[in-house]
Amino acid sequence: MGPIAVDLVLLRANAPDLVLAPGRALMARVLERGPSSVGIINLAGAILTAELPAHVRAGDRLRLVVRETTGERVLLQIAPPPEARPEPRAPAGAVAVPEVRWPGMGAIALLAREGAADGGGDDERGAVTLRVDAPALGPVELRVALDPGGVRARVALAPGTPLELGRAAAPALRDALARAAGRPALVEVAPRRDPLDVYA
Amino acid sequence: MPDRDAPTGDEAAARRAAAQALARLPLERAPAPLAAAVVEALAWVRALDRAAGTAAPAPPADGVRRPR
Repeated sequence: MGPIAVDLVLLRANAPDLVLAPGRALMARVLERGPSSVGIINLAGAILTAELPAHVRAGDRLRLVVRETTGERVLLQIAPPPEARPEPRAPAGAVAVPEVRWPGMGAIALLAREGAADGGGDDERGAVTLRVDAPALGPVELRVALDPGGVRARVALAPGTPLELGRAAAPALRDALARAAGRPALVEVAPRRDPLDVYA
Repeated sequence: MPDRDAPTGDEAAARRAAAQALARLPLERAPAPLAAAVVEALAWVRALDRAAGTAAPAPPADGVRRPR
């Protein structure tokens, strides 16, 4: 399925808090579909014009994954809805959200994978973005990025107790990452804003 | 709280379980230091979840806490 292109400036103006990191999943509804490729969508509450693939119709609900942002546009890949995820492993080249069970915890979904798997062959760079559905914390978004200078983790937790505990435990994660990766580590613990819960 | 200075059997089991779960995700050719860091991060999340489980009730599936 082809990507949807959205004007970045317009999106920023309508939804300034929306996180547009590659791999991020968003929900959208198609409000109008004109005879050309241009239509109107409600993306996480922001009403926008967008270039739509031919098969998309008015009324469709779309699960979109941020593929890339340029200076002017955001490219969003249409992904299968969660209930339609057929297999943990996606076919090569397809955009899906592989998910596996984590016994005793819940599920782990792979939201984005950057680096050597793209064919770059660089053993010193890469990033993985996961979503963990934890019994007590609720959904946790975790991004771990590696480069020759260090390893960085960003953890997004629900506000309240999960966030407070996460911030208190951040030094332990920083130390563990530095030991595991053999390089300096930085950890950011932030409140979770989950566009998946914002339906148009 | 996660405490790598005093690893317990439970923490080691958490890392094994995390590594096994990751092995079923399409992370082929991930740099070894990255894979190791992800395992540590998941083990940390699990420890945090255990701590949260004793501190507060679980949030609902939609992530929105409602008044009791």
